[in-house]
Amino acid sequence: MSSERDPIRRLIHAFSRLPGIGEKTATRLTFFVLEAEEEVARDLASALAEVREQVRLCSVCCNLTQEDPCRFCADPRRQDDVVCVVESVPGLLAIERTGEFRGRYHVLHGVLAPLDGIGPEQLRITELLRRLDGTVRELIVATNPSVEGEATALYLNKLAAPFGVRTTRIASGVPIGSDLEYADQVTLTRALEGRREI
Amino acid sequence: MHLTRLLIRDFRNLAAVDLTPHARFNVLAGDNGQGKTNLLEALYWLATLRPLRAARLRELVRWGADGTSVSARVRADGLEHRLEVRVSDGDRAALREGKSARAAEYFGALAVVVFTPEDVGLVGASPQARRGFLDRAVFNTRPVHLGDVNDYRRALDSRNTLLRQGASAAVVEAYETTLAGAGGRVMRSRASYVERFAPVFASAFRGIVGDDIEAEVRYRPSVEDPSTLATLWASDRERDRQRGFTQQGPHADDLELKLLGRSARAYASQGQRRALVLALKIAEIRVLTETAGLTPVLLLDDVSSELDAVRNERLFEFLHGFPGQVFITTTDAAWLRLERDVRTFSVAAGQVIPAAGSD
Repeated sequence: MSSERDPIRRLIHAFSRLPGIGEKTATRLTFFVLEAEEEVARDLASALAEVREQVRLCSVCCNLTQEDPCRFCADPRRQDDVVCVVESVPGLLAIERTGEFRGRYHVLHGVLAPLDGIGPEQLRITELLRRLDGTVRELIVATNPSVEGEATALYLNKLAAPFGVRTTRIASGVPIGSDLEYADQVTLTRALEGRREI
Repeated sequence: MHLTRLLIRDFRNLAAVDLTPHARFNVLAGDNGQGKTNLLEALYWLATLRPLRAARLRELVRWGADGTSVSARVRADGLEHRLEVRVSDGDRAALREGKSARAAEYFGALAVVVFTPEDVGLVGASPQARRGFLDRAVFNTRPVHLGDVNDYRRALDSRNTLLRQGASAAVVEAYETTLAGAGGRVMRSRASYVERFAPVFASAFRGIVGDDIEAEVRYRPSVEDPSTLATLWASDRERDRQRGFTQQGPHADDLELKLLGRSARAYASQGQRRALVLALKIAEIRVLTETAGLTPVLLLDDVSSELDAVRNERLFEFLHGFPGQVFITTTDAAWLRLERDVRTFSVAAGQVIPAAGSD
């Protein structure tokens, strides 16, 4: 039997294409699936198939959703004048977990990364600008504090300015609830630079 | 700080090394190509998480092995730390006290200063080599500098890529602003380091050659004022686009050396150049010990044969007064001026063993 037809090797290969999973883990997962109750494999297979069939981009904020518009865009209790811009859906969920933010979201699906060949056209920026129709007064840019995340925030600031929209950037600094002595040097240095009057 | 134990597995030609180093002098003796420099490189990698010579992690792994590991017990301020850096599955992991640590959490337990034969050519070398020296020195007193230099490099490569692609002005400008932020941090760290370093260097140089010749070191930034970087790049944009790269900025900075007010690069004799380099290294170590309160581990890679007899004597005078741990490789022990507190290891075909009669 050729290796492409061998189902065990096919599954190992499929798992090893997932991020963070090497050959060894892929092998372990494969044998786990083979040795577990049959329903584990069936659930996994149907969940994988359905996630691709049923999940799409929200036509407003580009969040991944089963219903369009997504639950954040459909919720009438949320504020329309503030939009939090995130790189990815996990970023959105992280902000949402705080329970503090009651505005709308926008998912860029990446950041400007010239070294990876990602420009504005690859991001959901046109969709964002379309939303700046007068209701939105503030964009909170919550991209990562990386070189690419910073550049993307500056770029959005530039684009949003003509619409009379205020652009803000989330602060970076010492994590709350952790002792200062455990904060790493980069974080502490940035926190010192970003200090403010009290 | 000093290493009390060093373990190396599958690093370049070193299959398995287990050393109990002396707290002062450790001599690695052997012919060329046996693995002496590889051992220093392993130590350098352990301390800085950066390879000294290799461009790729793969090159660090012994041929035929699937990974490599360097670990040590380091004694500092009465505490013992465990550090380990390894490559497995092509990924690098750094561990402090056995737990995986991000770079920013990892640094601080071990500082090293390396002195290689390439350093001896520093005076006549390219600005890039002197910037490398400066950034390594800054890094030891200020580990966040490494992150700033990496961010700057990334943003610079991004701007160059955008210019070549003919990207829109708004995108280029966003990257220029980011670049100016990182560039400003890099410049300020370099400038404030050289401010502390310059007087120490001048006095180290006098200690080597006497009072008749004055030596001076200065930070020569490509752009004087970091707050003008963004506007400067904006006005250079069209020319940089035609060139295909960013001409001015911290990536074109230099460390200028002068003798009696004249450029050492153009006018210094061979002997003076060696004295300058020795003074640079001594000053780098003194700044660490005196102003940062850190006693680094010194890694000397067979520099004696590159220095002349007089400069070599000065080097050993300095080493005798230096309180910390020293690793020194040599092909010819006749250059060494060490009588006490020495442990000698022989290095042959990737095997490192205590030399007979050592201690």
